[in-house]
Order: sequence, then C-alpha cells, then structure tokens
Amino acid sequence: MTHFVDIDEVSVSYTLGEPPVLEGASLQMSRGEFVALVGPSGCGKSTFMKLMSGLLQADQGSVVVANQEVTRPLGNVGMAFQNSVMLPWRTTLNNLLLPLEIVRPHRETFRQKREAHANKAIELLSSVGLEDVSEKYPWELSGGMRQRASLCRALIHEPEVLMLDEPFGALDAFTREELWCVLRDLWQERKFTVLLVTHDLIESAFLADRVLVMSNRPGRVIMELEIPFERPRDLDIRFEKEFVDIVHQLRDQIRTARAA
Amino acid sequence: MELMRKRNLERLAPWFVTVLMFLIWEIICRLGGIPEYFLPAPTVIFDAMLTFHEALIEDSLYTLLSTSLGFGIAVVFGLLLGLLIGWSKTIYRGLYPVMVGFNSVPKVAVVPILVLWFGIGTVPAVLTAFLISFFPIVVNVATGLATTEPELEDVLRSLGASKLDIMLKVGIPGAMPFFFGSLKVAITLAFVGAVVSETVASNHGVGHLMLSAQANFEVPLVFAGLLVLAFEGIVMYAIFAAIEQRTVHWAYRSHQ
Repeated sequence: MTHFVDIDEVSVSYTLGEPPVLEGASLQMSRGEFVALVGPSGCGKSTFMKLMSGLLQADQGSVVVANQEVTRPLGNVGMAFQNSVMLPWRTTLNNLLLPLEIVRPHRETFRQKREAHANKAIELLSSVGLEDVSEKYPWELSGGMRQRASLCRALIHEPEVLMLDEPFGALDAFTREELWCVLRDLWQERKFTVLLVTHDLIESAFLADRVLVMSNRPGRVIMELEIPFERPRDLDIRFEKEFVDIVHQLRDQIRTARAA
Repeated sequence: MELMRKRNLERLAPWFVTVLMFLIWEIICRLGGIPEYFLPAPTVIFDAMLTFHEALIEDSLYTLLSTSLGFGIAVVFGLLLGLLIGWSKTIYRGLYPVMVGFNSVPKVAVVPILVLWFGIGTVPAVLTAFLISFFPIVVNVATGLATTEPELEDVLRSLGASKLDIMLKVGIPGAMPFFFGSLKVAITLAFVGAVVSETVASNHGVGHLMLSAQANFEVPLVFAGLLVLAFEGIVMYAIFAAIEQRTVHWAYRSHQ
C-alpha cells in the first residue's frame, strides 16, 4: 500500500564534514493521520518538517507526499510555530488571508474573491473562539489568541498537511490545554494530516494517533507507539492509568535515546 | 489628577528648558559683562534677527531648497540601494566596504571637488546634502530587510512564494519603521551638508550669510543665523518624526 506521506531512508547534512542531522530516517503517514514526533533536542525533528514541505531537499532518499515526489515547495501544507509570526502591520483578518495571496491557484483570483475569503476566515476564527478580533492587530491579542490565529492561518488555504513545530511551547499550562482542545476539535472536523513536533509527551499522547520517537543526532525514528484511545478524547484522559503508562513508556524511550 | 499634572509637566518640559537656557545665557552675558563681539546676549541676537529678517528669510528658504532637493535624491537613491543590498548577500558583501569608506570621508573635503565640477552655487549644496544623508537610509533599509523572521519566510516559502513575494509581503513593509526612522536622522544631516557647502562655496543660503556676517564683524547676525538653523532643524526633525508615527504606528505599540 502506498502511504500519503512516505519519507524513505533520507539523509540530510547542513554542513560538510559534520555529522548529518538525519541519517537513514523514514517516516510514513496515512491520509488524515495525526502523528506526533518527539525526541531529544537537536535530533532533526524540524528537519523532517522542512523535508515534507519542500523547503529542504534530502541528500539521499526520497520524499513523497500525495504520490508526488517533493522537489520544491508545493503549497499544499500549512505551518505553525512556537512563535506565532504574525505581521504586526496587518489586522488578524489580513494576516489570515496572507496564504491566499501567495498560494496557487488562489493568488490569481484573490482580489475578485476577497470577500468570500474574508467570510471564510472569520468563520474559521469563530471556530477557535476568536469571533471579535478580526480587525484587531496581532499585538493587541494575548499569546494564546495569537497562537489560535496562527493555527487558523495555517489552515485557511485548506492544506492537505498541517505541520506544527512546538506550537504550544510558549504558552502557560491552562492556555495550552485550551489549545489542545481547539486543535483536537479542528482535526475532528476536518481530518487533515498532521505532523506535530513537540517536547511535551502528554501533549503528543493526548493529540496523536501515533507517536514517533527519534534518536539523538544523526536522527532517525527508533520507536513508534500507537495511541489506542478513542476519539474525541477528553482532557481527563490524561489521568487514567493506561494513558500514564503510555507516557511513561515514551519517557523511558527518550531517556535511552538521549543516553545513546 | 496627579497623572494629569505629570502629563502636563511632561508636555511643557521642552519649552521650559528652552526658555531657561536663553534666560541663563542672557543673565551670564549681562552680569558677566561679556562683549557683544564675543558672545551676544539672546535679546541682542533677536534684535539682529528683526533687523535682518528679510535676508534671513530669503537665505533660509534657499538653504531649505538645497536641503530638500539633496534629501529627496537621498531618499530615492538610499531606498533603492538599501533594497538592492537587502536583496542579495553578494551585493551586500561587495558594496559594504566601499560604502563605509565613502561614509568615512568628511563631506566638507568633497565640496571643493564638487565646486571644481559644477561651479559655485546650488549644485554643490544639493549634492553635499545628498552625499551626507543617503548613508543612514541605505543602512537602515538593509537592516530592516535583514530582520525578516526566518519562520515567516518558511511559512511563505512552503506556500510557494517567490523571493519577490516575500520581499513585497514581508520584507519591505517590515523595513518601513527602519526607513522612516532613518529619515529624521537623514534630514538633519542633509541640512548640515547644505550649510557646510554654502559656507565654503556659495553666494546664497544661511551658510553664506553667516560667513559674510562674520567677515563684516556682525557677530549678532552670525548667531542669528545659527539660531535660524537650529530652529529649521528642529522643525524638519519634528515633521519627519510625525510622519514616522503616522505611517508605522504599529511599530510604536509598546510606547502607547
């Protein structure tokens, strides 16, 4: 069977002579799957994201997304980071519309369809609890609100793949839990394919269908764990024994990976 | 109430300091018996301003014209060169040492060359104003472009954005606070450039006026020229600071 995302035996090194960031690393995802990637810092988690989005070419191995070899950015991905990177001179609404000004085929018709796009953006904002901020500037929003808006921006052009690089890392614990639920509900509704890079094992087990653990540099996936819990999951699941066991198992794996 | 008073005090502070400065100056001149040909008192200078107001107005308009022309060229040229340097690392590497070297040359030393090429008058003043003021614009625009967040570039590139897209959507708007911030510095520099050139080689302008007043031993008029220059400098700075506030208000969010 062919996978929706198929990264096969890739190696990447940024500088000549230094050990590669990824070596013989593979990763497969089915369409609509939610995969979390955890591992020690500097193990090349973000490099995986760059490979999948076409920002980076592998030195060896192949990257295939939706039956297409990725050799350049395709535009069918959405990205969000720890830092919400909104443009301070644009209102939240106009920040959301930015991908539509860039990505094909929307960019050619952006002006004619601006109103339709704006309605869609406002709808998306309301679905994450941001009804009233579309005309506000990013610096008028709280960190959690900015991160919600950043998620919306990543989804506005209805990408097939959503890539999240520690999107909740800079938030306080309560806001983070809120946003887990926001992401959970968005995914439940739309079923896009997600690659979530995180340091937070509870986050990975709560949100993902499958958690992949990476080794120290040079990075590869050394273990994967199916998360069997039914969806949609409740926040309280985190305190159940089966859940705690899974988190412990992940923890042990990472400890071993770090020691290696 | 308390806050209001504090605000009012803050607003009045510049006027208060200015008046106080003139007052101390006046007192020192009067009580110290300082001769007029050495340091005239402010009242004497104001008197000279009234007496020679026609010449002062005419010459300062002339200086203002040279400054504006030179500054205008500097804005266009500085913006273009700054964008070019921000666009390509190679161009940046190639031009930077040349520009730093160029900027290190005292512009007063260039005036004789300009006179040699263009003769005495407006052209050297305009060119000196331009030469002295374009550098901060270039450096600021290039720096502004360099501050584009790499994550944002990744977001846009992953959507298939070209380098031009990134420049237009993110780079240039993001560099605007740097650009407008540099304008208020550049306009005062342009003013200095124009006056320097007028002092060395011109038959018009405040610089020339002060030089001839000095030759005629009209010391109060020399100081009157200085005060007019200071005043015009403040006005121009204020204008460009206001333009900056209006155009890139989002960059001042933390001060509001």
